[in-house]
Amino acid sequence: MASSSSTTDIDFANMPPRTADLEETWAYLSRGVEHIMTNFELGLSFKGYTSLYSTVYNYCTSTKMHGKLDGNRTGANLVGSDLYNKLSLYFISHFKGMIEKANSLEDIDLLRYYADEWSRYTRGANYLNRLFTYLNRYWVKRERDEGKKGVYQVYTWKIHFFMHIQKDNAKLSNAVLKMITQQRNGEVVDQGLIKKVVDSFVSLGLDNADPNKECLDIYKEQFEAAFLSATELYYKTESEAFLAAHSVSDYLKKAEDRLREEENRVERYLHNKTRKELVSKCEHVLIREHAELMWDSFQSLLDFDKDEDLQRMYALLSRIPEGLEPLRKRFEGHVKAAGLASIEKLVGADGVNVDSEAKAYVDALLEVHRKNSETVSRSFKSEAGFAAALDKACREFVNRNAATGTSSTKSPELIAKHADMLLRKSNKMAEEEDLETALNRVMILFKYLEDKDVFQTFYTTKLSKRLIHGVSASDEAEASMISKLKEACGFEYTNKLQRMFTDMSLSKDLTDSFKERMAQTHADDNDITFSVMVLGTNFWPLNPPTHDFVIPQEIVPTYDRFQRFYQMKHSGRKLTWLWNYSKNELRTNYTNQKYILMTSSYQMAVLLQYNKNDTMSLDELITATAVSKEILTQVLAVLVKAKVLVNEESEQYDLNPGFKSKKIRVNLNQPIKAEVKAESSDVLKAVDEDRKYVIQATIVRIMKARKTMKNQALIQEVISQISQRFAPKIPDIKKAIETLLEKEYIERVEGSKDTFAYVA
Amino acid sequence: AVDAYFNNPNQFASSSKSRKQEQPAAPSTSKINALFDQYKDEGGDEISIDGTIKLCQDLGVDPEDVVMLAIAYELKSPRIGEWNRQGWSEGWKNIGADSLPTMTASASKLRKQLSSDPKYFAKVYAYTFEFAKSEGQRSLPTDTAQAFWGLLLPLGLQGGALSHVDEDEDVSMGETGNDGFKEEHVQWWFDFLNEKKLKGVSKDTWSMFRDFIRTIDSQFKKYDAEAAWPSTIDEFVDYARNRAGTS
Repeated sequence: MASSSSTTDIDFANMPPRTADLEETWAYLSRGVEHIMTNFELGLSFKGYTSLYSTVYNYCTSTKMHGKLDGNRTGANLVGSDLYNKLSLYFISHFKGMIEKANSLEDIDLLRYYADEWSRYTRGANYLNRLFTYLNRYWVKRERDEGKKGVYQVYTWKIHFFMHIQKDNAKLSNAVLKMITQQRNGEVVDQGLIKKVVDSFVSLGLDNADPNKECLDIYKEQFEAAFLSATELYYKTESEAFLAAHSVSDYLKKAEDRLREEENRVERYLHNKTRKELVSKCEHVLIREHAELMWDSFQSLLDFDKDEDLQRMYALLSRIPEGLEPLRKRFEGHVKAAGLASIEKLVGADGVNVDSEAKAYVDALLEVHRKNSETVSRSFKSEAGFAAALDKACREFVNRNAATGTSSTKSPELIAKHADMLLRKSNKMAEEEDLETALNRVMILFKYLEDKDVFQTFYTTKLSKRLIHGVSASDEAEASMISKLKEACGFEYTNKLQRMFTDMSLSKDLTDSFKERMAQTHADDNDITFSVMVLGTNFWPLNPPTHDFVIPQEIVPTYDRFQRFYQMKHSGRKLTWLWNYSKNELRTNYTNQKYILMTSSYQMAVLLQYNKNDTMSLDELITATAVSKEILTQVLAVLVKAKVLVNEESEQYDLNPGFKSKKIRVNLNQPIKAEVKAESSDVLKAVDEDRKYVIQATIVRIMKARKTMKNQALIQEVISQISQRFAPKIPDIKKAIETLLEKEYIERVEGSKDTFAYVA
Repeated sequence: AVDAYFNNPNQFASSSKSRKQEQPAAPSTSKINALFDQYKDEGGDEISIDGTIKLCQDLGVDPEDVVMLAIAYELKSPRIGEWNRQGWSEGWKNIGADSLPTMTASASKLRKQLSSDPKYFAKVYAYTFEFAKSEGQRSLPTDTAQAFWGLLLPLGLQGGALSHVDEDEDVSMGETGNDGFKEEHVQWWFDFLNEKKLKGVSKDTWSMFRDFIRTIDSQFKKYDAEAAWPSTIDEFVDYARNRAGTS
């Protein structure tokens, strides 16, 4: 508080008597008030303070007593108001000088003067407020309680000074705005000064209901409104001028800087409540007003991989609600076009045959995805809308592109083919991790496939080949892929695949126990090594041979024994022998060098004929094997080409006793053409057939639950339920509905053409 | 429709009540039964093909006359050329005919009603599908279906039983034939079916085709592909639009 040094120029010792009247009291008090307001820095002794305080107290209480004695109830009021009025008058004259001085000043000088006077004044007034506590506590409070709004605690009178200056054409706030503009223009300004003045605007607000509560009326009216419109005008002008002279990329930086700068401005010297409106004003003039231009420049930023600019544009446009949608749309179009162009180039300019090079196809698709997915995470902060746009675009070009043409099954086929290549032994994927990564990449594309059922069917077919021929790279990799598919599509999707593995391991055990049994019962007759796979008809996409087959005598005993063995174990099960998938190894005894010929069953059946004859005609062979002529000629062609047989005369085949090969193990088992070609179309036929049932079953399930349903709603529901597996076509759904109408699972509701009802 | 009622009161007299008022003399069950005996097979108790042909001769109608479909409907004939006693006797009693002359007269009345009364036409039309298909089959062979359509559709189109109804607006009367399905389009329909080599016509397609005729415009423009039309009709509309555009 006041310094302890003795008062220098004012002697507050002559306290008026307790009974002093107003004039006498004020004469004494006014000296103290003047001292406090103008020379407070010189200090005030404690004694002086108590004297002044007591004088106020004495004056108020003594007359109050007096009044009570008189029975005059308003005595206290009169006395209080006298003193209050005196004080008011003092301030009016006190301000007069200040106002005159202020009127002669402009801009920064004015602000400095104002700020100085403001602090002097607030300090003094604060002190006075305490000095007149008694008056405040009793008289002012009572007046206010009685509803007299014009009466305030002494502290609040300061408003007069401010208003007098500001009255003159908003001189004060304009001076502040001028400084802010200077700062925006890059000049160094006294931010502390601005803060002091702006803070004073806040303190000036007064809530009538509760004088102690912060009130922003003055701040808002006298300063904020003008500040906001000045800001808007400033940035409108600036951004237009800037864009006229600079590129959009530069503008993005500029706008970003400006927005940051304004946020800082709030921190430095504005009231926090201004932030929201200031930011939204800036966003409006800096972003929304130029959004169209930004949207239009987006494509070229994408084209030239301007990551930083994209980030900035995203960040800016995300600040206005409607800002991002046009970007997402454009991004989607961009990704789709990139995907289409990439495949176009692959099959066009590069002339890649995707059927034999599924890898190139898959890699091309993945590369487009990778690049744009990086853009989403790096430039668009993985925002959900952009991720969705990416997915939508990928779904488009993954399913329909230059390589697929109009076929919706091509992409699933190629991707399944690629997965097959990865999972084969022949794939020289050095590390297991690499294979895992490659499989994960397959799954990225899988996610986008519309016809997941086609993929499933091709995958199943390929897997069955891998398993039957024992060319799967590893059980772990197979299991890993299946678990990925399961995760993506559920148990039902991979059920068959898993059953295939179960069959494989059961078959291994079965072969072992059969061998054991044979070792016991036919120990002396074991020159045939036999292993078998017993595969469930429902889980394996395998077809029995379409023609007869005479089982060669040499293997009949083994055939019979196994047949008996199996029936003993599982009576009632029917075994179908798939000769068309079986393979054999034959040892040559007729050559000097003993070779092992690796053959198909049909080749084996042919070759075994030469145990008895050296020469056979085509007809004889047909009779001996019961294989159709068409297939048998192809089988023979392979054998002749390998020089195992010689075909010198038409339709006559001789054993070549001089057969020679560099390898001891000679692989003759090559697929014949008809088989290869049939594969794809078989798969697709199976898929088509499958779909019919899936659609019908789905309709029945839906109708059973809903009882009656409108045509359109039903179709939509079917699409939404099935689209996880494939994209059903509306005509197919209609056909299914018609089939069900015909089978009387459903019927048309009478009187309504487009409503169906479930027939229980 | 009101005019039609006064011109042909009989065709609206589907309830036996009104019929009785007009023909106080109730038809004789024994006479009807006697006629049945006259046509029935010797061994059994039903009229078959031979009897049917004889009956047609006596009634003075061609066995392939469309009116036979109306009679079959009335007499609940289960299949072509098959009539049982119960259906015969209840049917003729309802119609109010117990002799060859009254039956012959009824036949021409039924033909008139079939051609002009949409509701009656609908009943006979629906009945025809069941009547025409062989037992155990779900659909009608395309040529059989065409034969029956060939009988029914021209009659209904000429007589008004298949006149165009505008579902959206309430104006339909008077302009029949101008804005709807035309007789020549029946041939288009057949051409389309033959071109498509469709094996059979389902009950749904059969019954929906009548609705289709009554609602489609002559240019096949106002077709709602979203509605639950059978896909065969969807495809026909494409075909017809093409044909209407090129011709």
